[in-house]
Amino acid sequence: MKKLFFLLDLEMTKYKSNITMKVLLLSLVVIFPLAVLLVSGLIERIAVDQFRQILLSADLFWMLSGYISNWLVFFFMSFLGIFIVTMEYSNNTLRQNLITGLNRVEFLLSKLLSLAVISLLLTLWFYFITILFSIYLSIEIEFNPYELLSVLSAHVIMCFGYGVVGLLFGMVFKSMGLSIILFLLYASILEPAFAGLAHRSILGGNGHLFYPLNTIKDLFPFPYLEFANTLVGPEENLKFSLSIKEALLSSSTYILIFIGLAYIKMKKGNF
Amino acid sequence: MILKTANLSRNYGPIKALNQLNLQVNQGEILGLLGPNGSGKTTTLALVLGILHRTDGNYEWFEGRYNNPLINIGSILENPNFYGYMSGWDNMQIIQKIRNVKEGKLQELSELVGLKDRIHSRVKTYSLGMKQRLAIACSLIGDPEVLIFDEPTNGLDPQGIADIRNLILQIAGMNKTIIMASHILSEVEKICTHTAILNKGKLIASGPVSSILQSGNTFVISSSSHELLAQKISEMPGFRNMEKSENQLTVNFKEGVLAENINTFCLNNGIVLSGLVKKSYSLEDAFLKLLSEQK
Repeated sequence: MKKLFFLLDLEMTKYKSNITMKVLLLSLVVIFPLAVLLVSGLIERIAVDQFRQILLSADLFWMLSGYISNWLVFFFMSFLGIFIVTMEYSNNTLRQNLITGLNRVEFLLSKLLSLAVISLLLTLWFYFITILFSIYLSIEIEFNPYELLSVLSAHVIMCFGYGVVGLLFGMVFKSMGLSIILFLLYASILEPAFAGLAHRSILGGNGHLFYPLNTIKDLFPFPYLEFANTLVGPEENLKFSLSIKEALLSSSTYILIFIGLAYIKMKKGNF
Repeated sequence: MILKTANLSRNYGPIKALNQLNLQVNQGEILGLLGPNGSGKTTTLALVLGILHRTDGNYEWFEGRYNNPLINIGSILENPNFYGYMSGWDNMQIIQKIRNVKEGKLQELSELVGLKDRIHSRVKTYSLGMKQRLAIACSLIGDPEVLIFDEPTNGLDPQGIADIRNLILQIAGMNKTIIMASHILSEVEKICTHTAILNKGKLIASGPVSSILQSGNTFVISSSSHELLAQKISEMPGFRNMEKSENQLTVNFKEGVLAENINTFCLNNGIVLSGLVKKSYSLEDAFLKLLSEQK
């Protein structure tokens, strides 16, 4: 435990005067409530009374808020994951940390720990903002502890998952610009194209939903997808996203695999 | 013993960057690791500092006394590496934390390296010389037993070189073991007690600087009977070759030929010597001679 605090303290010393870090964090903290305000405001204005009540019901509002957070965190945490490790490569401070006495595992652990702590803090912010807007929009929230825990765990894992993917990209490609470009290319073109086109046409079934970033994304899918089934009829039984349990299990598995790959890369790397 | 390497090797594909290095560094030595560019100096240091994986061989620090020997080694590898957006002070604090030192004497060290007035400025505003001095201060945090400097004066102006050299001499006076890689021979000659010379990844000579400087058995001899001396000395047992100049001869003999043997030989041949001095090489001479022997 003492070791974990030591590593966290070391990381905080590195970040406290880092402008990029501050700008990234502050942007998310500011943009998230603004985005929730914008989207819920739009729903209130556009939707007819009957739908408004459904769209802004307690269950769906958590998912809506989570979905908005999903979009923002996708960019923020993955860029952050890339940034915290490529910064060390570009300044050659990774090498300096290692020759000063920090071992390779400790170095990786310090990065993972800082991503975990930031994920927890962002989840607290997510919880606080969602509750705040629920009160503001007069949405009656029932506090089912199990469901709440499941939503909050999903949010922590989502933030951490994007961060770990970013970290792995940063460790592999070392340059911040290149890592960001390749990450965006993978996330927005390669994975969806492969999963959506190749996988579905060759293998069929719902396997296309179990690709790494999609499992993280499906922790908070678009909340109104279920309506699609009511529109096309139950016989179609379209599956647009993973269930929360499937998403939690598969994304956690991927995160562990990515951490394993990062560990191997760190252990075998020459710096 | 501080460091021992046994057949330490590192290959980059077919290229042998370091080829079976056997080296020993003892406490209190100031070892100059010499060699032309690409000879394997930085590779050696990167290997023993654990940031490069070895292809073969082994090394051991402090005879295995410490779990994490790097805590007891202050090092600068190639360029000084810092978080540019942070102050020199914060960078020193990071080193202090990694070394788990409670009292790092940061103020004292910043004064020692002459950075007291700028220590709270961001490192990206520092000149290369200031960064180098900060790196030296950082390497001293936690009072490590060993210091490793890789090309510490690289890229510095003459004043900067002199400053760093004086600083290293000052540190050497603190009874620390220092390993310093350099290709500036005058620097090594002024600072180091021992030297190891690398060429193309192989160790070609090692030992005290004085023994390297006196390697070879060459004497500078003069006499009023210059021509006779030149003729007779070439007949002396152990003679190898000689260079003639206007009034003296530089003669190379086989190992074992002493000044007194030369003097006796000349007297027996009716030559009175006016000068007989064993030639000392500069490190540059010795280095170039060793390299040419390799070729």
